[in-house]
Amino acid sequence: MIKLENLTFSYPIDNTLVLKNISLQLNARESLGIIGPNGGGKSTLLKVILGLISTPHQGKVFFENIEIKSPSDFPKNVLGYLPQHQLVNFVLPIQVYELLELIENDKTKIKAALDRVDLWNLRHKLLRELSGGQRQRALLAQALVKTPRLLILDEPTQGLDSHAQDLLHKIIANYKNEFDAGIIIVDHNIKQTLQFCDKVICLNLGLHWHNEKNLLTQDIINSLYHCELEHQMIHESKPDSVHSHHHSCDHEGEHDH
Amino acid sequence: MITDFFQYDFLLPALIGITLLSIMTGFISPLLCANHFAFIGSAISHSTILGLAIGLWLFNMEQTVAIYATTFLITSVAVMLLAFANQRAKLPSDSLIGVFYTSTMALGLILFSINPRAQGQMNSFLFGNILLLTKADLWILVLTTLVVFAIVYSFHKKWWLMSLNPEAAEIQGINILYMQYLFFLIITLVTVVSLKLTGTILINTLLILPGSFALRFSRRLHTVFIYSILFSLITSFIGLVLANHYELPPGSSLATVQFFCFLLSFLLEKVARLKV
Repeated sequence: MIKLENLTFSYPIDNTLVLKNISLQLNARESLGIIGPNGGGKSTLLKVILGLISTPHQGKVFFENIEIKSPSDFPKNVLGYLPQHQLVNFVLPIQVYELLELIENDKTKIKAALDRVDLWNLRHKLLRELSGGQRQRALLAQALVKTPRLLILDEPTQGLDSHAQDLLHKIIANYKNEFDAGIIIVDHNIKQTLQFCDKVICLNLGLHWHNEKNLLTQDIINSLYHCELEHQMIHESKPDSVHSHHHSCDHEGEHDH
Repeated sequence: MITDFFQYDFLLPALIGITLLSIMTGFISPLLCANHFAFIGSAISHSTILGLAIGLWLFNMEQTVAIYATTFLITSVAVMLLAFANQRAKLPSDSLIGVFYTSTMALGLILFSINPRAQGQMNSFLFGNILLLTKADLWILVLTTLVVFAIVYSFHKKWWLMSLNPEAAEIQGINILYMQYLFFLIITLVTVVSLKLTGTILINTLLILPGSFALRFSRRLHTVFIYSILFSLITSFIGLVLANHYELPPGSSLATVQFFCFLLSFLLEKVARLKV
């Protein structure tokens, strides 16, 4: 479905190498998790896949043999996208149902998408009055309403409690299996990504990449994050209690697999 | 007080003109606010002074259509250059917009001051002068209202999507840049036809306040336009009536009434909440 061939990218302003020689393939009914530390290149990879970065880069991105250079290269209605939560304008007085109406006129499809995320009963609520988890599900319903074959999610679980995170992942997994969809998720949550995704790529400014989940060992992740995996896990499970504790780990090595 | 509008020849055109302008600005204002175009909208309206100064250099005051067309054309070119530079500039966006509108306005004011035909008219176009309204102005307003309505109605869903998240909108297949440019052209058009009614400076109130009110108080996206147009119409009418009764400048009266109604709506909301 999606194929990356030797993708290398550096920003033209400072020539920082962000992506280094990445090749991978995502098939239908597969999910790919993109993890890595902040500023490691996750969002850049996502933007290159979507064709949002127009700066020339080496390598190619294909969607079913169509080379992608801009979002308009994707065939109509094959792409669903859930943006980062904090980048959505929740000031608008928009109801959940209206959110879907902006891109879909078919009422049956709107109902099906809202049923899928269990928000039909809240369809007349304003988006800004929903909880964080409900908002994410509403945005997910919008991304799913045209039943896309490729679903791309940018940090979908950020700021959600564990129950809301699990619920979101279950909806995504069900959708993937029902519609044979390909899923790409950028996430900070290593544990969940490893649990829910079939393939995982770990990025840190071109230092390292890997697309085989079973070969992505704890040592490799440790070295990429420059700190212990356990420490990351603690951060994820108890963000408040350890937030103020500093940690430092030296990391010199580079790995390529 | 209200019967004056039917007794004096210059007041009825003003009432018709303000009504049409209120409907038009009420319609585009929510989209302008939601997309964070308020500052660039303000820059566009200020920069029309340059186009107008050139228009008045080339044509007589009576050649309304030619003056409006020149102003629209020159302002549109300047705005497109600004929008284009904004994509590539190394200056922060707000600095660039600030530089743009102060310099175009300054240049316009110089042209005004050295043009013997335009001398004495500057204030009329900065703050509006309903005595300058002609039948041609009203016909242009009717036509512009229809055009703006048709365009905004056709593309409003795209602008709403852009306001929610531009990246997601782009992935939906919306050409963000073209849609931004189109909106800037609409702001230019509305500002040009409002020159004699509110002037280039006070039009900003009509462009920003109705939308801000509607986005705050509407409970549905479908009713945002209705809230905005009603707010714009009612406050403009009150402003015009007060201007006539107390012999105030209409543009200023209208802008002040809009501001106080906006303030009042927030106070009433607070009081209502306290009661609950």
